[in-house]
Amino acid sequence: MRIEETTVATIQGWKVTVANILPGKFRTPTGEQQGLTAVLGRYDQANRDQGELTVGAGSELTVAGQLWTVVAVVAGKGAENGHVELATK
Amino acid sequence: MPSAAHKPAAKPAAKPAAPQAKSPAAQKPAAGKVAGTYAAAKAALKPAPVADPTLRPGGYSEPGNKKKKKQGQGGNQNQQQNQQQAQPAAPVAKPVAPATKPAAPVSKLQDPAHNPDPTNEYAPNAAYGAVAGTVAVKGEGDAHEIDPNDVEQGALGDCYFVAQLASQAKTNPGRIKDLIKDNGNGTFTVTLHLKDAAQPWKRVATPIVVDGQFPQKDGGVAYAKPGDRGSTGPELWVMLIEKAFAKHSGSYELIRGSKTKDGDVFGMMSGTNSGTISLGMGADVLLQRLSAALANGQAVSFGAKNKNTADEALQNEAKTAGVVLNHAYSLLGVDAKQRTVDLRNPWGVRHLMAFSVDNLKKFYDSCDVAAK
Repeated sequence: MRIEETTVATIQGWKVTVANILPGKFRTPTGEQQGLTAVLGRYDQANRDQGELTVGAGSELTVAGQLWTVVAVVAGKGAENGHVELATK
Repeated sequence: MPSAAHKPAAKPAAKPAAPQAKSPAAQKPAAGKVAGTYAAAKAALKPAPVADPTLRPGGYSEPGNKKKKKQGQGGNQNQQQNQQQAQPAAPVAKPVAPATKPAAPVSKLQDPAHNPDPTNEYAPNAAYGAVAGTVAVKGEGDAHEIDPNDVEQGALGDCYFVAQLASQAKTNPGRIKDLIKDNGNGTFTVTLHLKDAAQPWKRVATPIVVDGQFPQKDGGVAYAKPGDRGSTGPELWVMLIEKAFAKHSGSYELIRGSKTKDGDVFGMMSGTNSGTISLGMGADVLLQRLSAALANGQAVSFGAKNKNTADEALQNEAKTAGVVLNHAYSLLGVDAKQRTVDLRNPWGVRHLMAFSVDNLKKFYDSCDVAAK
């Protein structure tokens, strides 16, 4: 699934927000990487903050008990929003 | 990485699957730091000359024309009948049925069956589903049944739109309430003040009829979320106004910040184009201006900088400060003594409470103010 920057997706009742796509460091199962990153926020069904993550392509995160992989972080052109693409592992 | 310094929601509750009830965190945001494209939506605004306060209503009322009463035929009816019988009956022309006037076509805006395309680039499979609810509900923590707490953006890049709804809900909820009428038959009439095609600096009050069907995705409402849950269902005002604007624009895709032709949501609600406050003025003067606007009942929203106006260093600072770049926020409060402002994120989370005015000037580059 693709989530546009500055918007809120719903995954199994959890909110996932995407913000601030820019170059930086991020973690993957194989270690620290450098590249395009996004800040993902996660809120459970009771809207409790489940922690914010800086992710890049290859990062993994758990949402509603399910493991997701970040397939891609794509920057928008100019002032346009970019997006993050996630897939279930 | 920004810290998530927000108090957990005071409200209880699991959200039902569909329709989703309002998330419990109309969170009372914590003090201290925490925070479609806005820039593109701003670019859709043309500079307006001095706002014309004259509102042209949706129709004109014609001066009444008194019809002349038909003069009745006088005389002796019996005598007339006898005369007719004496002569051979003249062929009576078959009366020609008066041409029936065709019913005036219902415009698409007034036809509740006409729905805007529910999909957008990031929700290509969104499809309509019914959400039975009520216009407004005064929920826990709400100052009014129309409250900023009710606003939660969804999977649509219309932050400029929902942020201004929340700002307006803060300063003048009655203005929003007056926009929506429950028709009592499952449809609602939302009146938006849209740009006049011939004179785009003027706005025309335009009733738009929408039904109770909203785009859904993955088992829930896709875009702006339902608000508080009342006895007759969830609160719909945000979804109704969003749908009405999408209907006018042709689709939900076309109200994304990068696509919209009208970024002045304050103007849509009031009938008068909004103004701006420069963030380049001195911090203390800015605080005074913002305080005065709120005291005057004028809604205020801000646009955070985007990658065109913030270099990489500033982008990283924004990330640390919890500011979402290229995003719109609502002004909820000003503390001139502490030199801070309270900014509400239309996501319903990641607000920036007690945010320093110096950071406001650093990370934001636009400020819109609704007409009084």
